[in-house]
Amino acid sequence: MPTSKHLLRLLIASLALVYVAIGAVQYQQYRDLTAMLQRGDINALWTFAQLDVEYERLDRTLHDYITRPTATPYTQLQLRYDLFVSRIGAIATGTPQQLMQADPTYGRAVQELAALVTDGDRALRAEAPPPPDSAALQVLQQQVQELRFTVRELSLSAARASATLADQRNAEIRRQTLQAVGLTVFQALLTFCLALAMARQFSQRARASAQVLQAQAELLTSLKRSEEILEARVEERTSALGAANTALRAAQERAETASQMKSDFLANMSHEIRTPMNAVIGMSHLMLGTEMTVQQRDYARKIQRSGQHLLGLINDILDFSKIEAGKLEVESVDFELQDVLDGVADLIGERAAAKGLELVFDTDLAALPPALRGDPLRLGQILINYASNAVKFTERGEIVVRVRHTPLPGHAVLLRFEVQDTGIGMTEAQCQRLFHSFQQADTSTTRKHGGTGLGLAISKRLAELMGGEVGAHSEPGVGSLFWCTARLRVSTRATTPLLPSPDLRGRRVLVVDDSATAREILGAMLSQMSFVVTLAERGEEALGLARAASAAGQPFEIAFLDWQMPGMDGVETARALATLPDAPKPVIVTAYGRDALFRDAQRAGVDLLLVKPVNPSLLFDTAMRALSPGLALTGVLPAPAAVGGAELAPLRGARVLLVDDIDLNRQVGIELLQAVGVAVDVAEDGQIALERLAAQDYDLVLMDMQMPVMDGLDATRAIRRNPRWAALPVLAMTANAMASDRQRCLDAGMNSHITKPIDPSELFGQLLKWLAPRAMPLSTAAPSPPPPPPPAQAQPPGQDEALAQVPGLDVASGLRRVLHQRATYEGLLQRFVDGQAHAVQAARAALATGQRTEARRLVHTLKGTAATIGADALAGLAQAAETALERDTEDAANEERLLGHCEQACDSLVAALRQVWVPPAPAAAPLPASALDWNAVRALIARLDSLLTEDDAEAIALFQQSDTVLRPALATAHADIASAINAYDFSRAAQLLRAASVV
Amino acid sequence: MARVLRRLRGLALLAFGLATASWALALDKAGADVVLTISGKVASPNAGARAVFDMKMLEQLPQHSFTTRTPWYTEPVRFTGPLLRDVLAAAGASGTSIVAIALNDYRTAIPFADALQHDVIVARLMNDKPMPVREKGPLFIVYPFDSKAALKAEAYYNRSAWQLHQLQVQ
Repeated sequence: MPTSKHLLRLLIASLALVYVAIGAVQYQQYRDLTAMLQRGDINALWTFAQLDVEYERLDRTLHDYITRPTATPYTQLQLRYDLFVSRIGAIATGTPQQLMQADPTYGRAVQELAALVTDGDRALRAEAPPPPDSAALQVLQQQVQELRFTVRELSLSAARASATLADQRNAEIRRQTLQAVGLTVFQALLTFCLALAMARQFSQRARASAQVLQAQAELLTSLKRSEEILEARVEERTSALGAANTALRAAQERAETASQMKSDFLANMSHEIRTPMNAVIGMSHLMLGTEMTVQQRDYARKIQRSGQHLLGLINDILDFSKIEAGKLEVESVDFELQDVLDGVADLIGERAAAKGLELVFDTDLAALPPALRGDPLRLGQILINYASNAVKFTERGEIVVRVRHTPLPGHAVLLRFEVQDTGIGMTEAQCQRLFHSFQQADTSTTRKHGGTGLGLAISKRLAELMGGEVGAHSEPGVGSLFWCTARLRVSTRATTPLLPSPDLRGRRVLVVDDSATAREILGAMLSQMSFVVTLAERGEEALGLARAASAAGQPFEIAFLDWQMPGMDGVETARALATLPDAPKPVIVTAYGRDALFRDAQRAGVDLLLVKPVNPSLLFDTAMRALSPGLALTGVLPAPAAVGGAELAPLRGARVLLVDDIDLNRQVGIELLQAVGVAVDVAEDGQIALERLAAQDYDLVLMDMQMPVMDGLDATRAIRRNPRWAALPVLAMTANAMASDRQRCLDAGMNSHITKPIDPSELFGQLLKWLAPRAMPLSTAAPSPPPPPPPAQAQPPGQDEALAQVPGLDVASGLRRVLHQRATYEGLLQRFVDGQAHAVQAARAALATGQRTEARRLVHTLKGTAATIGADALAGLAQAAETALERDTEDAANEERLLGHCEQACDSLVAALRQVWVPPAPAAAPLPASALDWNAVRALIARLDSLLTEDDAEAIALFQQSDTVLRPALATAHADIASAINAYDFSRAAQLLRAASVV
Repeated sequence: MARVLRRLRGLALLAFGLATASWALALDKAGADVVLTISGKVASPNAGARAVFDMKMLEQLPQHSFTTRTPWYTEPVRFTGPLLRDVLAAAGASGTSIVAIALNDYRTAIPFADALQHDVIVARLMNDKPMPVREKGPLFIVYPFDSKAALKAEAYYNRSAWQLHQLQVQ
């Protein structure tokens, strides 16, 4: 393509050049031809011929005139001469001259002719009047005749020259013709080339365009082909995807069905498990209310405890499965945070005290709206989980439950709870694994401390449901801090107003406590109440500060004094302070029972006591009383909670219909209700319940959900359809713990819901709530109902009295600690007798072998357990011994003295308790060792060992059943093992068992 | 068409004939030195059947001048003299052809129409000077060669007779 283009350009340029050349050449030819034509004028030749003619005429006329002058006129001669001269002039100029100028004869001839004219003019002058004489004419004639040859020769030369010129002209014309032909041929050739090049270019273009068209067609075809392939592939993939989708959908449906089935199964199993658990716990509760031997009581207590533990595990698993199913829900009800914290204190306080740990509450509740909206049970669940973990993993020190809050916009608060312990702590890596399902810090701890490992995962989920988060920091060997946050709304409900307040702002108070944590917490609470707080660590220091403040005219108005302090204790400090001029009002703060202290305190002029853990409302009340002299101190001590006492009086005589298809459940219900003077009728299913209702009026119906013939929901709907029973309270009683079940109950028209296994206090609380409004008018209007049977769980009066007479034991204080759960308290006493009788001896033995830490731990445990049962004096002595043992410098004499005091108090307490509590009599007389079947004994010991190693409670039963065999077989080790097992210290029991059976 | 043209020409000739008749009455007798004799179809003769002119008679006719290049002179030359047609009219001459005869007996035929179509003069002066016989005088028939390209042709050069002394109208 480019070459042909170049060629074409070249051709066009050449053609242009050729045309220019042709033009130039033809112009030149025209010029040459013109010149040639001018030279070759035919007139020239004619002129030379005329010269010849006139020469002849002149010659003849001259001859005639000479021979006969008369016959010829002179003018005639003159005319001939002039004509001849004119001919000479003619050849001397113009074309004749051009033709002949190159001829040598021409020049000579012209000279000769000119010479003749000169002579002729002289002879033939026209103006000469007389005619010339003949002589002169004859000379002239001779001269003329001499020129004859010249004239003739000139004429011939002209003819020759003309011929040559003609030849030259012909040649020139031929040459120019040839040149023109050549140029024309060249031009034709170039034109032909141009045409050829154009044709070539055209054909090339045509070929190229054909190629392009073909390529386009090919491209189109290939595109079409690939499109088809692509379409086919897409179709293939689509169908494959469709198949995969179908399979996935099917799999998803299967999975959803399976998940639903699992949920249903769990709900069902939960029901199935709770029903027998209800029986186990309820029955053991009832059994504890009957008359039993100490051993039976112990069994019953352990059954109940194991049942509650199992229930806790089941609840954890159920909660977790609800989390898995996304069905865990939180309530939104009005509650007071203090109640939640009290619940935690009650539950954890006991366990903490049993381990000799101090439980401290550090809250800013004074500044917090007292009533909140949220789920108090779930909040409590998290805190109890944290706190019970703290207790589990802490051997000594304290557990601080801290609450802080931040107001949020729109009547809400962000609460932050922290539970800090001084326990074994965790590594960073262990912390990371917490809050995951089935994870504990160390899998080996599961064996030691039990639990499902789900507690923290559940707590995390619960906190999230409350709009909060969870977390933990820990340091191995130092302690752990678990925290959680929750967003709660502030309740709009009116709250119980605090006491009318004197102005607290700027009032000065003194806080004296040797424990920095306790001091600071109390100080912070008081600061939040706008007091000006001064802190002191010791009694002596406090005295100094008070004296200085008094002297400065700014005396303290209240002094909060810890009872147990090194040096001056709280009571002594109060006495000393009373001697000052502006004595502050003293308040004794104690973690121990108040009753023993109270007498002491009163003697010292202290009438205000605060019991740790201190809660803000109690602190506030106490502070108000200290500042308002008019308020009597009698109101300070809260009335003991009287479950089963006067509080339940409104229930007496109420008539309740209990509807349940399961015999055991009915029995539990009947006995619980009869115990508080409620008249109970039973129905086995909904249908029977409706018949009973038709026959008699009832104040309340307790309705199981799942029953044959007619279930609880249908029965309730039937009840609600009858206007007569529209206001009749119907309470669901079900093992279905799911929130959805609860909703179904409410939808069916029930008023409330009680979860099985039945918690007596919950049951009575609900009964009070729904019966109280009508029971009172009924009891006054109706004739007095028959006196209720005495409460089944009441102890024989003798036993209580006996206990009350045990010196050094404050039964009331001990019972308060366990919420007046008599059975629990008895369990604590039993455990004390079994576990602590030889505590001081063991401590001494440990000291003797240099195990100072172990000795301290033993004394610490003694202190904690003694305080828990209300043996405050012993706890004080143990505290003193522990303090002594904590010092690094050994003072053996002092330690021994203190331990001696402890031992004395402990022994007398244990002896007194043993006196009141008949020690379990051996079921049969022990067999002599020789009569033993040692193979059976070995098998028995191996089984016991494995049960103990697995922390299986069955071990206790086995140990006691096999008493007749084991006592002689284990000989002296038996007592130690028994005490270890009774103290639930299974690992120690297993060690002792192994040590003993080696023999 | 041809017939119409012939008739028109006939009319023109008739008109010309009337005109020349008036001139013939005015033609004077020539002097002794006759320079031009017109013979043949002459309507106003002054010497027998011929009309003769001396130089003075020719001078008295309206004069015409032009400068032209010629094959006979290398430089352009100015010629002056009466128009040929005026001379013919003065003689009352009319015909189809004129034969011009020079002193040396050169003869050339001039179509009568040439005298009417072209401003052909009977030159008596060259470069404003009378022409002696030696210099192609005394009279010279000259075409205005430079006025028309068609006149630059051998035929017209041949018709230009010098040393003219006689015209025969046929």
